[in-house]
Amino acid sequence: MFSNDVALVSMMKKKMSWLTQRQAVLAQNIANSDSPGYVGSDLKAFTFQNELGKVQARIPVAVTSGNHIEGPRVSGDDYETSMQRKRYETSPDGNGVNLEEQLMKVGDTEMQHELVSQLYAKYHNMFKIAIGRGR
Amino acid sequence: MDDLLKTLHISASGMRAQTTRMRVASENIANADSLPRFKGDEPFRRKTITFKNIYDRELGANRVKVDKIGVQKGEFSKSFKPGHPAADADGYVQVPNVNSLIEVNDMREAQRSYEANLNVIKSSRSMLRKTIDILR
Repeated sequence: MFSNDVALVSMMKKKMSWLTQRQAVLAQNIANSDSPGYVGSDLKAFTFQNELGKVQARIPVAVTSGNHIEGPRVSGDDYETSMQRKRYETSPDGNGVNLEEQLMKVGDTEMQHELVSQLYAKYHNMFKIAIGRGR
Repeated sequence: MDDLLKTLHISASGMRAQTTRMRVASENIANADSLPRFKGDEPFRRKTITFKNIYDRELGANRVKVDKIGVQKGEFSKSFKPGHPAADADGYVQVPNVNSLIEVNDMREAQRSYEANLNVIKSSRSMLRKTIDILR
């Protein structure tokens, strides 16, 4: 209930899953940083506007009986990945992964993740205060 | 599988590939002076390693795998050792085509890539821990 009803929390949930997915993509890039011909990829940027649009546009059909067919799948799980167009450099064997660049992104992802998790904790705490068990 | 756990598997595969590369480099360095035993034999040929990325269906991500460990083709250089059992009529022996500078650089590169993968694991671990910390 908590995570679906409160828009802010559902937003945080999305950001969190975006960040974890990005971490996986970056790990792929780094692991393949010596594979010939491998071009790195990255997730599409997570923007407030895009996500807000998605929230409003998609109202899933409720399945209230076993005979109902589920509506179109709401695929909030996967974010789009795209090949990296702008690259720092491409090595002679065709590998386009630059370790420094990727590690910068990993650091950025980690930082944002911490921000979201702390924000969530804070928000959670406010709910606790409201129900009389705060601090 | 959760993306962060996936990350650990991907990085681990990268680290495994780099350790194999390290092994190949150390083999080359160790055999930099392995001369042929008899006349007409070849000395040690430098080994090369290539990686490739494969899509792991179970994991749902691109992992790294060692593609193949081959040998470097080409001419051997010769060194003048008249007393050697493998020396030819002019007293020259073929020596391995190992260049220790290249090997050391290769090892350094493997080390850096290994560290990069290790850092991703560290970062993912701290992300996981912070998520769990929300429960507290």
